[in-house]
Amino acid sequence: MARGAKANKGNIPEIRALERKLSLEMLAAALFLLVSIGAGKGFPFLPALTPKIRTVLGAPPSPNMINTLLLLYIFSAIILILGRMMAASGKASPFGHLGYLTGFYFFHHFSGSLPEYFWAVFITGITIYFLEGYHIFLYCTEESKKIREKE
Amino acid sequence: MLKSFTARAIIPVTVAVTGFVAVCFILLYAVMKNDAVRETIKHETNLARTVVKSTRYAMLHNDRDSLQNIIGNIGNQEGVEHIRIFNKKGFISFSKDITEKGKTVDKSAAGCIECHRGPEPAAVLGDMKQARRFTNKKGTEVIAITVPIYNEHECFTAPCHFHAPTQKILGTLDIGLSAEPLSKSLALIRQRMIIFCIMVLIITLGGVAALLRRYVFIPLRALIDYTEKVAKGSIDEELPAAAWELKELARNIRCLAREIKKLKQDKQ
Repeated sequence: MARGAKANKGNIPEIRALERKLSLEMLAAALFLLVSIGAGKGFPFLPALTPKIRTVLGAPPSPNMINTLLLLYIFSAIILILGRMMAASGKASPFGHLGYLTGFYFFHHFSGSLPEYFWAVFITGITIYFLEGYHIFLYCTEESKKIREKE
Repeated sequence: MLKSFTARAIIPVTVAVTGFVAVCFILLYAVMKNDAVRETIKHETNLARTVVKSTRYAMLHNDRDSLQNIIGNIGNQEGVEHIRIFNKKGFISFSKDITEKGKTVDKSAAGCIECHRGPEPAAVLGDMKQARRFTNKKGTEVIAITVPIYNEHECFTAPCHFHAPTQKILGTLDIGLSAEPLSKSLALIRQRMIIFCIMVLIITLGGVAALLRRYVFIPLRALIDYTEKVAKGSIDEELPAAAWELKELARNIRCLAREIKKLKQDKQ
């Protein structure tokens, strides 16, 4: 956002809401990076599952199945974000993406295939957060500019 | 303005295409790698079973010299890192490396633990569970297969020696082949896929950039130049060569400029 108008823009509730939207997006991206660091180290802070819990949970899905879902997820997420860009809509779901991506990490972790597929999930997250962050950044900049012009 | 417009158009496309192609590359390579490893293991398991079949006659006749000779000759083949036969207790009876003969293998070691995990050792394993990958003392990556030698009818009825009919497995053949050819093939596939992905990225992004430049940015620049000239008063300038929409916009600007000029003249 433009620095020149920083002094008075904080007083306008709409601009504050836009800033919050952008902050949430960045917070979700930062949380994703933290989860990725944990995933890269193999989630050492998670307790190991006992055989009993493993039996209750059942067999993990195969890595191929997880990867097919990952491919569908990145494809649909990119299409959704590009669609929102086209429609100039300010909608975003940063924490939804965080949930999905963490889920992919966990599924790969519990099926024992995380070291092999870590980069696939990480690049998916980076792509999605970059695109969504870029879209929200442009949207917020434009909207706050419009609001300031109206004032 | 044009610079910002270019950035806004190109950056999302670049990130979306690059990210998607990179993820597809990783997943596709992983699938191809798994397929190649599975095929190699299948091939090696067949080879191990062939070795067991070829030693059958010597085993039935308890011809230990012939057996050691067969194992030694197979072990001298290029790419065979180790080959040995050990009995149910893990006592190595025949090996490519004669210093290994008489030693006992650890049941908890990789290659043995798969069957000896439970209180009762498993008699049958799938192809993938029979295989293990490791780096040997020479630093060579090895794919090793363990194949059980089953107690057949001829084994416990042979005149020279006999095993109890209840004994399911007489011993195990352990053969390890160098994984170097597989690693080389995978590296070649990886290189080709990287080149292919880079080409796809260049063509996609280059195509989008070229089309945007040809049909949007250049006409827009011409339109800006035209409006600047109109603003300075030269309203009879030729309309810029552009797509229908931009030409229509230029025509409307010219009409507007003429109307303003007419109004000014009327006022005077």
